[in-house]
Amino acid sequence: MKVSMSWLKFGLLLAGALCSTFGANSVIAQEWADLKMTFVYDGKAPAAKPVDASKDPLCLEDGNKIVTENMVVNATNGGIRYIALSLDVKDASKLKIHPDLAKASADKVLLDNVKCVFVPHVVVMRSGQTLEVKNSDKTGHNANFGFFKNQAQNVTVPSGASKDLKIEKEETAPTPVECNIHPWMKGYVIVKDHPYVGVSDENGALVIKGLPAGEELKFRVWHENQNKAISEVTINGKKEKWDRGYVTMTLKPGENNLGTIKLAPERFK
Amino acid sequence: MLSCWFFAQTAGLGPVAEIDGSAGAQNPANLGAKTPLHPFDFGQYLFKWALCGVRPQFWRTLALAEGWVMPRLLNGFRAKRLAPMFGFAAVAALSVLSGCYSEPHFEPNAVFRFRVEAETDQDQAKAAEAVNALVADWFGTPDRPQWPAIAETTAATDSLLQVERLNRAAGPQRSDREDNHYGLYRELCSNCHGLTGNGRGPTAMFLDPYPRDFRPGWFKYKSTKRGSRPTRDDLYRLIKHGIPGTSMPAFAAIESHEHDKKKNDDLDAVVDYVIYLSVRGEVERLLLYEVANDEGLLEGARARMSDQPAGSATTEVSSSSQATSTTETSNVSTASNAAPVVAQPVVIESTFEIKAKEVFVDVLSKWAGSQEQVVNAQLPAWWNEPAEHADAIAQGRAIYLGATAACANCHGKSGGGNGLVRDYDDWAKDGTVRAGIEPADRAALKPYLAVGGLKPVPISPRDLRLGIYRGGSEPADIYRRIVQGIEGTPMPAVALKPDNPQGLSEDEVWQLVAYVMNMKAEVAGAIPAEGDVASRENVDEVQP
Repeated sequence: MKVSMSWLKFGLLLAGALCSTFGANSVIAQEWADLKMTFVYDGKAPAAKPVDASKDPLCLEDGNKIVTENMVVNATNGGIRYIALSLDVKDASKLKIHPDLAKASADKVLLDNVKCVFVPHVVVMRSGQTLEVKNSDKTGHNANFGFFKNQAQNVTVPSGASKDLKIEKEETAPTPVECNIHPWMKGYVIVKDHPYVGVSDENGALVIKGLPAGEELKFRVWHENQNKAISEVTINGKKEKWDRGYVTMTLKPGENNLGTIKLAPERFK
Repeated sequence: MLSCWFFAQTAGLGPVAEIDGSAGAQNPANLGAKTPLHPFDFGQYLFKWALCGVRPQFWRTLALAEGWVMPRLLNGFRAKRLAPMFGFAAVAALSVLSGCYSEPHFEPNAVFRFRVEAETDQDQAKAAEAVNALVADWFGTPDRPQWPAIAETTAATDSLLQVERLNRAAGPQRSDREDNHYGLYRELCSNCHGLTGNGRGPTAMFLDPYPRDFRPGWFKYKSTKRGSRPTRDDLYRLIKHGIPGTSMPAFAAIESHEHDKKKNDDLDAVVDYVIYLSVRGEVERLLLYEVANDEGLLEGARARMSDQPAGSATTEVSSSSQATSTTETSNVSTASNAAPVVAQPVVIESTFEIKAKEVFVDVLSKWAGSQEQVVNAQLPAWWNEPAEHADAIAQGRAIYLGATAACANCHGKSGGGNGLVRDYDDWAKDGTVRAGIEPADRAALKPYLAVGGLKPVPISPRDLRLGIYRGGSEPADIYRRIVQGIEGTPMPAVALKPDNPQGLSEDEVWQLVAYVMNMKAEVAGAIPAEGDVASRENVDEVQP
């Protein structure tokens, strides 16, 4: 009994010492990390389906062809577009945010209507920012936002016009935006209290910059066409479980490249 | 015969006693007093049971019973052969009349839980259980409504409704010797809107459009901004006048009676109760969403469940509310009676309860603040000048067909509702599109239907030539529909100056109103053939 007590005391001392060392470190300098990864479709790239937009000839001017955007896979390198990875925090006010990113930009975030599709297809913004819904088309559009925590909106945007919407609150899930006049038009808006959201580009590459290094961070991955959450991935040939689409990692200062993340076709609908 | 009776029950055509034609059935008080199980509840129960998986067996049994009974009846009354039938009837009567009354409960929002489960990819049984227990503690049951007494919300509550009046609309239908009616909601509303206000009453599935589900807090026809709650007056008006073009009837008959001031608040009591159901439903929804997305809260909720068995607070509270009622003479044998509802204090300790309070305060402030959200709609001076009005109609036509308002894109060039859109409303999308299900995909819909979702029905742009306006036929009503759009539907808000330089001016909107309201006259005698109305082919000619 006596032995175990002394071990316990030793352990407490050691823990105390460790805490003070690490505590001191974090006060001196917070280091920042960039996170990179590339999402690749593990199979034959599905082709985008053409959309019948013949009912509005203005959408088809100059030989414009509209295709579905819910599953965009690069035919050359298999990169999956529009996968979003966002940091999952309950209270962003306690989060360490890179000084350059600490305040949300005062600029408006643009959601344009171009050739009868939403551009960008997935908009990322911070709560408190203004979303400018613009219409660069000759035809009229509307934008119907199915917000959950913010006030749901459905506005008409005439040709050449734009409409500003102030988005006050964080949304847990990506919010769909639809144009009801052109039923194929669907996009998403991701609203977070923090700047740490990345969306993969046409090569499947996704980058999130200025993350706090050295602490455990929880992310959630999302794709609009996912078949339930993306819960299993293959990173550089090794299978990994991402329970319900969540992945936890601690980043080292500087660049962190996860490499190629392959997603099996059954991860999608 | 039996099936006729069954149908009468489920379709709400009348209480059991009406089967024998007794006039006494007209007075719900008699029923409330004599039968512990209200006949309507029984009908609803049977209906649910018939629909929930045992349907074939149910109908087969009913057919067998009927096949046995009818020939015997038609062969004349031979007592010997009829003996078994009397047995059958006795058992049925016993089950109805004896103590098989179980107090009805609000139905948990299974469709929303389904959506949240899809979104989080996680079973939310625990979260739903915790949320339902708290909501039951705070809001009571259909027979014993409660209102949480939270200091910060007293002012908002008082401005919104009379808590003590909730008993008027709650509980089984009954009346007292002064002919004050109680249980108004079950008497007038629940057949379609459901006991829970979920828009899924026994008749709901036969109606198009479906009755409103009050729980998300979305209302289409109101004087306030899109996204705001309606005012009391808005709800009062809809209930009093009904909604033209839908199954919602007018309840003007229960409005004030000049000769009897005591009855003046029947309709107001129904408004109170609708707001109560909506607040209750929205708190349930939002709280479930919070708990499902925050494991910490779920822990708090679980802890709450373990040290406070579900329903304990309800029992406590109801006994105290009954205590206050002992002084009143009541001719009703059920727990629910004429005792005014008193706001009950609630325990707010855990993070879960604090979150619930936040949600409740938030929901309540939206309701209490609706008066400030009323959209001003002042008729222009020219409205009553015939010559100028005629000009306005002509200009309104150009606006209707123009690109700015883009009305014709959906409502069609001639207003027949034959534009581009095939779409669904937000109530249908809530458990389908938002849960990753395509509403038109019958196979994918199965799990949604299994949790009680109503089959999604496409929403059509209104045929404006009919001159039937659901949200009211005053010019101001049409004006508000145009500048705010219609909440929960694809109908968007028009772009307006000065906020949007390319948008319409206020006067132009009134011109559009003048044109829309003239459409019925415009097409009188010239309504295209049926095929033209149904087809959506002539859209290209619409393009400006």
